[in-house]
Amino acid sequence: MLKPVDYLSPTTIDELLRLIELHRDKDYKVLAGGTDLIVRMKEKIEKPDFLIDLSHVEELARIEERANMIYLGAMVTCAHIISSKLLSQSAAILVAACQRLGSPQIRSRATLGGNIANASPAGDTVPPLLALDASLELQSPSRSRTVALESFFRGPGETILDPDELIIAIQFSKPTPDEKGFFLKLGQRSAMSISKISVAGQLHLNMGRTAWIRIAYGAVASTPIRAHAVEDFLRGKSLTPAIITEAAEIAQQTVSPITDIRSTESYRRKMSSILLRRGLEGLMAAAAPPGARSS
Amino acid sequence: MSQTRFVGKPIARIDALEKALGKTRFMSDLVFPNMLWGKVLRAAYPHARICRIDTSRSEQLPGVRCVLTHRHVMGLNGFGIVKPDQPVLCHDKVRYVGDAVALVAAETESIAEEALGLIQVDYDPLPVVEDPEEALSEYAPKVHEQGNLLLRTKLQKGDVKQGFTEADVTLEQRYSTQLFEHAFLETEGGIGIYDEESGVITVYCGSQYAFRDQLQIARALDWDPKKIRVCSSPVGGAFGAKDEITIQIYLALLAYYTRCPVKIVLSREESFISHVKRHPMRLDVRLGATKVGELKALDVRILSDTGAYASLGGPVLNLALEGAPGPYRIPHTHLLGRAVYTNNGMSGACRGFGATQSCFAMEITLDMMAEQLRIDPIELRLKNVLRRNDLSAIDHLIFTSVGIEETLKIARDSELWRTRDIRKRDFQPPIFYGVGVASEMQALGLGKGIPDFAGVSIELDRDGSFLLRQGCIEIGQGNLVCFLQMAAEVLQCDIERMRLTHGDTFASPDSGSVTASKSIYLVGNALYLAAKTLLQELERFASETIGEPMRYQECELVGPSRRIPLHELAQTAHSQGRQLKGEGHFVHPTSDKDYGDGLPHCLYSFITQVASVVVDAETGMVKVHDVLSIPDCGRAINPQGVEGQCEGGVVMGMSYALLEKVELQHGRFLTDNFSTYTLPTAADAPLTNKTVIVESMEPTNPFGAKGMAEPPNVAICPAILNAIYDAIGVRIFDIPVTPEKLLAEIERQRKI
Repeated sequence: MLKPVDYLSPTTIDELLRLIELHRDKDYKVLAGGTDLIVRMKEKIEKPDFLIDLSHVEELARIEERANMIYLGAMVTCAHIISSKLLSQSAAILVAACQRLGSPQIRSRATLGGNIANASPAGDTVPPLLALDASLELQSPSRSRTVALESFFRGPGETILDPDELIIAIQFSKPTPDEKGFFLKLGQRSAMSISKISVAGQLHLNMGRTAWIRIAYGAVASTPIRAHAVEDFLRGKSLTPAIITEAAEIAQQTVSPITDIRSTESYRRKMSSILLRRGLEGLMAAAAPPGARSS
Repeated sequence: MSQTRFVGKPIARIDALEKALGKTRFMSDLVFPNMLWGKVLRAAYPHARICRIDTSRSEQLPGVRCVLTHRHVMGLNGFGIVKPDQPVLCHDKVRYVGDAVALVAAETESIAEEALGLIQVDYDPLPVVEDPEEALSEYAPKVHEQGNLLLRTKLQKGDVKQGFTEADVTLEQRYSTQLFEHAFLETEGGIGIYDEESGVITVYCGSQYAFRDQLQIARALDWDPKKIRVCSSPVGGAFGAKDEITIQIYLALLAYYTRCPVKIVLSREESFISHVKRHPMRLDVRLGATKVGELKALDVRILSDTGAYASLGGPVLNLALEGAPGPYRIPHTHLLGRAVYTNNGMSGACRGFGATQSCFAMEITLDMMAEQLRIDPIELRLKNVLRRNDLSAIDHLIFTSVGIEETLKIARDSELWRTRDIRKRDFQPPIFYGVGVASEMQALGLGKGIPDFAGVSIELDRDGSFLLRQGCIEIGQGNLVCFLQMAAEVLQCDIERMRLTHGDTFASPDSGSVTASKSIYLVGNALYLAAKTLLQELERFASETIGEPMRYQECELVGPSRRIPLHELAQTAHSQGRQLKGEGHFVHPTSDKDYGDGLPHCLYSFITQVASVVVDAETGMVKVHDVLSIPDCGRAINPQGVEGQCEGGVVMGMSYALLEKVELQHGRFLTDNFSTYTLPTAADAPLTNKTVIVESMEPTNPFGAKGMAEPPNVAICPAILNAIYDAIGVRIFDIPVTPEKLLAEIERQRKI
């Protein structure tokens, strides 16, 4: 059973910050979609006296393009992302990750800000956002700052957020049309599944060579991670089968997974290779001119 | 009964619309005035002595009406279908984390929960018995005073040593199965009410057998069973787990002590840790055959982990042994089983009832034998297939219908089986395609020496409609419409002209437990007798009243000069104070042999299942593509219902093969809800899931029916594992076959 709480529902960011200020010394929690928080309250891991609900702050629920940047309010839901034309054209890997997250019910509640702030190593939206080199706009009653998503996580459930600070928005440079990406995940089942492992990649090919590439993994370390060693290896190279195989080998050394109730350390390590290889091969197959594709 | 109007037709379930609309009220949904909330304090340790229980602080909490411990149990402080070794409320010891130590009733659910936290129990923890093998060692801590062996059963036929000397090929393999959760939708919930004036205690709580609940409650409360009413239908799913008592005795005790209606609804987590699961078993199988594929000898040894209490652990072990040889003629067998107490939760009845485990082991062994002998797997099965009037592999006469041969022939001739090698070419490494087959023989009914019967009465109402009084419950399987179809056939009337009772001990005769796939067969027999008796009664009364010989025909009484509609006859009878009714009582036939403890059975359903899988050899992921289920359930009273059982059973069995496993660590559950215990979704179900029904007409049932509910979730598991082998040449002998396990095995075998 849930313990009764005082429920606060601000409608603007200013009001939200005032409420946070007001409850500074109280036991409060910020409620986004609630798909993680409410479960933890039910399990009595969290027992707040106050809930500050963000769902009526309209400013936080916007998807916008601002001067070649994609700007996503923290309260944008997975369902909203999936239905966004702008994102399906420019951030397909984020859309793909949202499509594989939870169930329709969860996707209509779960928010991008919540998924990030929850800091689960298996949070599905984080690897694509890392691959898109996203940054976070953080705000507290006393200051605002922008940080790279990659520097946000400290460990499972742990972030650099101050106690009175929250994520206001997520932003990244709008990918150019010639960028390509992939998102792959393995779970215990085909839907409604927490990832055993996920991988996202975003790259720019120039004359058949990778001008740059960003690769990120979920559920293979204590936080979602960028695979910098793999990126460094691939930069400037053609994605030939031999190069892809070598990159996949490096990936195995990059990750540091654990065994838990969903999978094992060794399986996750192997899959970090397999999924990266499949992701890259998929891109090459899609990039090949018609007729060149081997069937 | 060759020409039928109702039997064999896909008539819509009478409970379908209200369930689809969400209108059905399950026992957990009921609400009464002045209702209190009950909660159960579960054990803090999987194995511990109880030194002291102090409820004083809890009792003083405002809003708490009563706090009960073992001292408040008026009768026998124990329950259990076979032997009552499970305490209602523990007094000196707890044996698993689901053990109940105290009960609370309070004005609100949150007060009741708070009150639980104020009960102080001092424990002296004991070593946890985790390994069933070690549990049998003389140095093992004792779960029960008399030792950790619940039951040892040995069955044999011929001379197994001789049999193996006659065999050209002998295969030996160890298998193991996991602890498996039923995952019914409705957690245990209901309400107890005590009426002081009449002395009647009513318990509304979904379960598989209201009439046995009534007796178990009466025994624990030292109460007159006639003054205990149990209403246990409809049930939001059970799959065997609600055959045993769950919360019924708690409800009765709390209602008695508070004089108020008391409601309990278990959370998923509490339900998960407290109710019985499917037994994990270790099975050693040795099978011998001649070069031409004649099965000669079978030796099976089973070690079954029954957990903390007996419940149905003994009968489950016995059915695993009886089912182990499958539907085959084997001249020499030796089957030995042991069921052992541990602190690993608690196991009991679960769809398949032991045959699930032994069929998995036997059907993979057979597949290996077929490969070894270079015989097609279906041909090997056909070569040894059991027929009616054969002696079984445990040496008893099978005098009832046997349709397994026909199911195998349909499997052999199916597109899925015939063209399997052609379809393999559609896949390229690392993706592989394979097809597997398996068959099963499922014992129906409770077996030799166990009371197994059904009573039914049918009354003519004053408006000319019929009231069919029977006691079986509706559990989601759709038996109620089948009862009406069978009755309509005999009474020659529309289904709409009938009502029926279900699962209420005050409304009908006892029609037996809904278990062992048996309600259609037993109730069908009893209602046939009741309907026939009622028709005679109608004709006699009509003849007396009219003064000429009257015959019943299509809801009319027809004589040489007159026709009377049934509703007129009903009015006449009513005005004279006559209740026209027919009663039927049927006792299950039994085997010629008696091996004790419910063995053997005498009536069997059969199934052959073919499954195709697509295996990703790099990720170890298996997708079940197509499934063909070919059950022999006797006459299919409602073919749509049979298909429903097959489709659901296939998904459940697929998940047993590939996905689900209850994880325990030192007697504590690591998986206790559907977030950690992962069930398949619609997206995981096979792409096609087809059913072809074989109807071997059963001579001991007037409609030819046998039973249906269990087999489709049994053979599918080994069929899938055999398909995985067909795809990639790797065998796994312990389920579930997770991608982690399969990939490790693929890599291990490549290294050799």
